[in-house]
Amino acid sequence: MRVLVVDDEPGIRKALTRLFTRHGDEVRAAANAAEAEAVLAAFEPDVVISDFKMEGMNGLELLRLVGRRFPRARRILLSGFAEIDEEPGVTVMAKPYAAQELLQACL
Amino acid sequence: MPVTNPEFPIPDGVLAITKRAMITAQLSAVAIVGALVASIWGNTALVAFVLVVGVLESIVNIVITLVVKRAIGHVRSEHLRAAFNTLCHIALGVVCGWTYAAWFLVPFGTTMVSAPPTRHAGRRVIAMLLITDAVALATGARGQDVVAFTGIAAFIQLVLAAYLALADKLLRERERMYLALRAAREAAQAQEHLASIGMLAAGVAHEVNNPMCFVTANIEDLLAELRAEPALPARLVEFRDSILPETADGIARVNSIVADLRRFARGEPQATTELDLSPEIVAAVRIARTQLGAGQKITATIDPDLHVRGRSRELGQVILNLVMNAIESSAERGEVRVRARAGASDVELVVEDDGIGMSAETRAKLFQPFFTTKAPGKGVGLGLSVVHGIVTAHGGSVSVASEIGHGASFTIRLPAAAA
Repeated sequence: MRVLVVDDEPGIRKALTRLFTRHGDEVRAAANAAEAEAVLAAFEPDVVISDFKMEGMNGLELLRLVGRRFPRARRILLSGFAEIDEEPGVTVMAKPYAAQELLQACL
Repeated sequence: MPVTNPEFPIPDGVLAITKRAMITAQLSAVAIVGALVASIWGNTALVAFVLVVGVLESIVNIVITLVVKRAIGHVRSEHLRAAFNTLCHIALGVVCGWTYAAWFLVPFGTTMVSAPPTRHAGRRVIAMLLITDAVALATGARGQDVVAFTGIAAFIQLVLAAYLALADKLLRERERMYLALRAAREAAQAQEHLASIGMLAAGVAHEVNNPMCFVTANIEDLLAELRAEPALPARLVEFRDSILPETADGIARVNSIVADLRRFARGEPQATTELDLSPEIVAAVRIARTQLGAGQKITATIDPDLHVRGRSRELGQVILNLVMNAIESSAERGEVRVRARAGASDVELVVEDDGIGMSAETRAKLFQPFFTTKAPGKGVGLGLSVVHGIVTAHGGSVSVASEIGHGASFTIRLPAAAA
């Protein structure tokens, strides 16, 4: 799988990159929506995992954008926030995520 | 000034008017005594007597107001004032031969002891008039003067009583509004306090969750690597077998406390959904455990699958509030018992403590708004009236059983969600 990980926390980017790399996937990381868009110019993802609260565009808006451009990609929103409304086509998971659950959600 | 609720600050204007009234009364007394003196001018001994009695009466009245009233209370000191003034007026009346100037003192005297307009005041005035009339008639006053001035005194009393009653009513109404406003403000402050705690909890939870993501992942991954290593150096075996697993447990505990905190964070108004109350109760007990005193404990027997329809955050707050109250009420080495089970058509939650219990009086007022047994400023809880409100809004009921010396037991029943 080709996975894009978007989170402003470097430790989380590293942990998610490690998780998917060991799983045998190709991983790219970005710290915010702007960087993510730059990556997406040359990388077609099967899975996009994004944090909600980031500088600039928030994760939900980014995932909507991804949904329009890559309609077959799985979209997962990781939230440290108490409540995010349901969004069609997006799986919302709370932080801290359980690694197995996250992998399951990508399949 | 009638003493009403000690927490009600008597408005400045009222005190000023009362002071002015007293000064007016004093000046009137001086004017009347002056008129009396003028009417007997020439008789030096008599004038001296009148002046002495007049001054004496003023001084004694002032002393009664400032000193005696504090010692023996309002009613008794007014009786004393009435008795003393009547004595003085009778003395002056007798000595001056019941001239009109002397008679002025009688109706005037009744106005001095009329506030507040109670039955005591009424009886006082009647007694004053009867005694004065009796002595006056016995010492040579004219019958028609007695009737006239007593009539004037009675008339003044009726008018005065009406106005005093009006003033009293207005003041009490003001007091009632003030107390209601103050209570509303305190409730609003408590709500705000709760809201900001909720926001704080949400903020903390969010900040903690981020680093906990990679802390959890890193420890799990390290543990996995150590387990996968076939030839692990001896000094790392302890890490693989106990230290890292314990670390992972510690991390799991932190994560659940933070998750529980998030449950109670204030957020947007919730929709009513079907929910299982069981994990909410478990979470509340878990949070409450952190507040236990050194010798205290909680035992919880919580059945699974307690399905109700409601708003999870509100119900969670209600449960946490009851458990926290129970802990605070419990004895130093006491025990709080929490039981939750599903009945035929409802879900029942019982929270018991073994504290000092409460009187029937307290029990009756327990769910009233703004009722508290805590010191002002203490207690950040919802208040049992809000608990009551939330539970009844969910179609349920909350009740308490308690006796002094035998702790308290709160029971919440909520209708079960249709299977």
